Amino acid sequence: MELRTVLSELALVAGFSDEEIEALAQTLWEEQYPDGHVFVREGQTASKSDYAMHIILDGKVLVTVQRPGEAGIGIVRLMEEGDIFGLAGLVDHGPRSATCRSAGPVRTASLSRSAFDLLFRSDTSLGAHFQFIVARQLAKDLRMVNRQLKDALNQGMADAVAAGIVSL
Amino acid sequence: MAGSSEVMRSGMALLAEEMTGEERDRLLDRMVPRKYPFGEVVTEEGVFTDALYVVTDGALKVSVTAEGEVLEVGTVTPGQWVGEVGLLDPGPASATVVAARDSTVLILSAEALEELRHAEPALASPLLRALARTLSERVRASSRGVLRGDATSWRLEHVPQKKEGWLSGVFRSVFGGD
Repeated sequence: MELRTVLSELALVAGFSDEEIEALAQTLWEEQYPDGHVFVREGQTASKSDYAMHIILDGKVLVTVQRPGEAGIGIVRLMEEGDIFGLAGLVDHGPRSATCRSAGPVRTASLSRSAFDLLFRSDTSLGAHFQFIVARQLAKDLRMVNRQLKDALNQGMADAVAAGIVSL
Repeated sequence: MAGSSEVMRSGMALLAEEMTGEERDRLLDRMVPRKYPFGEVVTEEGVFTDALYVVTDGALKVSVTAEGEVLEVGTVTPGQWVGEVGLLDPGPASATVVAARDSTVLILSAEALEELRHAEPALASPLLRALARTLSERVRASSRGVLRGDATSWRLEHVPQKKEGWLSGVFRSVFGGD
C-alpha cells in the first residue's frame, strides 16, 4: 500500500482537507524493516528521539504482552495494513503496554515523538482530525481486546488459549 | 493487575483537566438530553451503537453475557460516561446498559462529534484527548485481563472507578436537577 492511499482512506474517515493531508504526509517517514524487528518494547518509556506512531503500509506486526508470573508471552493481536500501532505509551505517557514486533518484512510510515506530541496537543482542525484518528484506533484496539476477554470468560482460559490467545 | 483501579482516572477527570468551565458548557450544548425510565435498555450487547452516554441523573447498570449468564460489571453514576468505543468506532455494543433507576443522560452521537470536529476543533480536541487517554488506559487493563481470563479488567473498562463531582455541578446548573 502506498502512503497516499492509506492517508486518503484516513482522510475519508477523519475529514482531513487536502492541505492537512499534505501537512501530515510531510511529517511521516517511510521505512522498511526485516522480520523480527522490535518497534516497541513492553515496559520501556518512549524517549523523545523515538519514532512514536507507526502506520503499517505493508506486512504484519505482532503485539504481545508478558504473562504475569509466567515465562511465556501471550499474543494480544495481529496488526495489518492500514492499522496504527504504538499509541498507548504516547497518549498517557506510561510505559509501553506491549511489545510490537514485525512478523515478516514490514514497511511503515512513522511519526516522531515530537511531531506526535505537537499534533496531539494542537487544538487546530488538523489536530482535532488527528486526535480523532488516534482515539478511533484505540477504540478499535479496545474492541478487539474485549472480544478476546469475552472469549476467555466464555470458554475458560484453556479453551481461549486453544482459540488463538496462545502461549509462545 | 488489581492495582490498576488505583491509577486509572475516569474520563471525566481527564476532561476536567483539559477544558475550562466555559468550554464544558459549550460541549454540553452539543449533547442531547434523554430520559430513560427504570428498566429501559440504553444499549444492548451485540446491537449497533454509535454514541457516548453521560449520566446526569439516576444510574445505569452495565452487564455482559458470559458462560450463558448475565454478568453485572458495574454501575454508571452521574458524572460518569459509557459508550466511548461506539462513539469513535460505531459497531455492535460490547455490553448491555440498562437504566437501574429513572435516569437522565446526555447523548453525543458520532454524527454530532463529526460536526463538532469541523465546526469547533478547539472544543473537539480536549474531548478527543480525554477519550484517547481513557481508552489507552483501558486497552492496558483489558490486555492484562485477557492474559489472566479475569473479569476485573472488564469492570475497569466500562466503569470509571472514581466519582467526579464537577460535572454533577455543571448539570445541576444547566438542568436545575438535584
